[in-house]
Amino acid sequence: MRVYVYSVLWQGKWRCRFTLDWRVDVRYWFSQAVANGVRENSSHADVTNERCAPELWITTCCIPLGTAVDVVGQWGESRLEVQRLVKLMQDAEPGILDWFGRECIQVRRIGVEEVWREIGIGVIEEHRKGKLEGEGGILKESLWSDAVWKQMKDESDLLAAQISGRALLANEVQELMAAAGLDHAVAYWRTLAQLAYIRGQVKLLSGITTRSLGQFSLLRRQRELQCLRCGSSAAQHHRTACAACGNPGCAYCEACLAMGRSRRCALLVHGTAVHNAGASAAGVARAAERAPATEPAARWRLSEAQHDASRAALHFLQQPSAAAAAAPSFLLWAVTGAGKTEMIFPLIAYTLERGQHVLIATPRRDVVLELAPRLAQAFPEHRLVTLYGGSEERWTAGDITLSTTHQLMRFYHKFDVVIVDELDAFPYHNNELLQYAARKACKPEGKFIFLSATPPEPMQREVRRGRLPHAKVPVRFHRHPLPVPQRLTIKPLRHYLENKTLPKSLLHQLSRSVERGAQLFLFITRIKQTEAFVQLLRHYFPVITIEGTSSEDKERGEKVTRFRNGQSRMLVTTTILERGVTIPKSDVFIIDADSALFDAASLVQMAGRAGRSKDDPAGHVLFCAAEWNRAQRLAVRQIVGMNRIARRQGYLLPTDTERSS
Amino acid sequence: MNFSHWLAKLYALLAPKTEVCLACNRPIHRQQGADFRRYDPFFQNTDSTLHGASLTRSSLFTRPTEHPFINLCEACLCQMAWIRIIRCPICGRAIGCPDCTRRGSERTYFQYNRSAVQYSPPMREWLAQYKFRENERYLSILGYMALFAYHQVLLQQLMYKQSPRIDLITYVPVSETRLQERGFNQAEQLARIVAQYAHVPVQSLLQRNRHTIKQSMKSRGNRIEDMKDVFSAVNNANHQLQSLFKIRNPNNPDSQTLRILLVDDVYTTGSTINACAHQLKKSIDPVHKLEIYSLTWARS
Repeated sequence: MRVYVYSVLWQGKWRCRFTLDWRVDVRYWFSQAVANGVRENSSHADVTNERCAPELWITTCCIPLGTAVDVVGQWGESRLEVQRLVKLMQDAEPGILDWFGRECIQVRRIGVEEVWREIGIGVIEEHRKGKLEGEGGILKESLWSDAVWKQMKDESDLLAAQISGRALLANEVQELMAAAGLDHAVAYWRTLAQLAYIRGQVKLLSGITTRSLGQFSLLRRQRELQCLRCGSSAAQHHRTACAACGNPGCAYCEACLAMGRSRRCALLVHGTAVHNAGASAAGVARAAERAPATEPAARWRLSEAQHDASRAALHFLQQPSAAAAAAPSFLLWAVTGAGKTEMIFPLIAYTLERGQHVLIATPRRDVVLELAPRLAQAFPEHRLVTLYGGSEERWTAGDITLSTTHQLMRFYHKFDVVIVDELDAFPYHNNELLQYAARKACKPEGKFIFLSATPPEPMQREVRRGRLPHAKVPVRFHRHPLPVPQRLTIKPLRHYLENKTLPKSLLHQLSRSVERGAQLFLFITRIKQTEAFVQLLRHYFPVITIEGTSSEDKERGEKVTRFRNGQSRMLVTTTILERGVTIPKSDVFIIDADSALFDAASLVQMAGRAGRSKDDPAGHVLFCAAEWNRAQRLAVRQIVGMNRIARRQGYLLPTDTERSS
Repeated sequence: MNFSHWLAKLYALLAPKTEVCLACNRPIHRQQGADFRRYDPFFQNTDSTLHGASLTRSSLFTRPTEHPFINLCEACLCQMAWIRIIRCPICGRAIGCPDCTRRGSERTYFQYNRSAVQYSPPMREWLAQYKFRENERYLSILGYMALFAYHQVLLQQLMYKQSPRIDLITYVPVSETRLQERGFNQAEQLARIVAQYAHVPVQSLLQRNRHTIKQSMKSRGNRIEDMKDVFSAVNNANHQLQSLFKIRNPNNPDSQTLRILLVDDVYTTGSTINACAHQLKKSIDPVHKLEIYSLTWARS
């Protein structure tokens, strides 16, 4: 996309802007003069309170959007003039003059006395050729009557309210308009977007923008491209010829391509209008009148450990947030099976009472789908919006937003509280892109709450150093200790598959589990080994149903359901099932536990599949491997550590020996 | 920015670079001794009948790393649904074809169409990735695949006892609105790649007059009806073509026909190609003869 750049003299100061539709700007800045012209034949005389700038300088041809955004950002308060314009354009896009004619870069003055005449003949060349985009419907005339202007202002208010808190590309703006009852206005969306921009309700940016590399004066002119939507840097951009801006090497972002193409010359709209400020303040006042911090345990039926952690998190939310560089974060470190979801209910309720926006983000789509009905049930009086790839509710506004982390890219400073569930699960793990998106979705004064059973190592370090406020939930909801993994030394699975035998020690453990009536998870490292291992197990256990599944299995859904229903007794699987699936009475075997594919976090998660039920709290977990490596040691240390904390804090049910003594 | 952060960067620097398949995003494991270029129809096919044709395969790639297929894994390379055997000589379909006989009253303004692949579900997905998802990494692969159809066009000319030749390549236009949205015209990009390999000039001869809804959303009857007046030749099309005639040898009767290759991404009913061919024929003075050939990447 290309746009015009102009500067206008208003209240003694020059303001530099760019425009998607120059007619809006002329009408806006010279509204008095234009209105006089419009009303020539009518009897209106009410021209007070109308803006009338004395002059405006505008480029005679439009320049690529990315460059224009940079130029406008740097221009400052002086009149538009060619020399500096050329220099800034070169700074923004080195080599621009190779393909953008130097002679095209001209500016011209539009004085107030000319406005009427200029509009009549068409100020800009393209318009005369009838090439200006966004024409249709009521914009056929080059000049809008008062009624039309007013109607457009109303429509742009509506648009700005809808965009508020979102970060959208041009086609997404159009989709949003169609969904928000502005479908008749989609044809002239540029006009409405420009109107909202000039009145400060939205920010117009380019999808990929430049950022200065360093603080030092030498480096300041060195610029680097960055995708504003996902934060990726130039290494993840691909340059191709672009027909929309004429640049033979217009960069687009490959990191977030799946969410629509963010490009150097593509428009990105950030909605900055705060339309619920009043409601929010009233909400805070109303909430303050009520009892401070409703006791979580009573309403949500939380256990003691859940209650304590939840209250600590509530306390964190209640603290006024200092204007820090990074948004304040809180970690809820809850063991597998602790009932994390129930613990966030009080936090959601607290935020909603204040009329604030709350977001629950999780990397995995199946977690979103599983959480949605529970949230809807817990908060029936609030509107829940569920977002994932292909979701129907993409443009719906709601009080609670439940989303996959990828969808966060479409938000900008929207949420007061962001709750990130399973933050260590793929693909959030080490993924700067999604962390950027999460930060961006949160308001500058907003707060983060992270939920995890296995926080990533950097976060654990922050906890140890006391830099990250946190609460640990060291015990499961049934108040029994976590099963501690046992060690079983066997050779790598590859070896047994070749010989078509299984070692006695493993067989003994397997049959013990089968005999006690448990269902067995068998985690392996390689998808290819699934089938062979299943065959081998069937040979040894011909009576029971054994199945295997992996990410490449099309019948995965059905097999997991059969396992859940207890129709199959053993399930051979890779790490895809390390979380989410809960079986009442289950034992866990991790084969090749010394593999580099299993880190401490996934070992803890897999071990967490055992002993989930109140009736069978002590499932067996076996790490079967040739070697005892660091990941296994760390996993066991974490589990034992959590049990110790639970015991010390008295969360555990008294054991039989304690009871008798 | 702590120590482990830099250590991770160092590891990333030292680790062997794993290539990821463009289409399926899985790491590419190349089997030892198996050349991925065996999936390239030109690579296995040293067809001597093409000696006269302007396509010399040896000049295409000197090194395997330059080959566009290097970005795909074996599983995805297998999915290319090449049309090697042509059943319908008009539309280049690999299966029996009722459409070409059904066109009936409507005249066919082009000689024949050739496509590189069948529009199978994986091929559809690739094109969607390129055209609608705007992943332009696909271009070099799709463009190179289209070259196979170019080869088929020339082969057919040979079979008709003509000297294989294309004088000019042009493409089906998209509307200005679509071009602004998408930033590229897929047909033009394919045409430019084919032209680059085949050393034939490309010219823009057509324009789209109105913005129609996407072709893929319409039924067959609608498509044909809708195509009327959508395209027209650009103002100076006649002039551009005339200048090509001037540089020809007037004594050779064969050279008095100008052979234009019209490129598009998908051939479904042929209505788009036919409408474009019609407009091209209309635009030129009747003294000269135009033969229009069609090249599409896929035949649905």
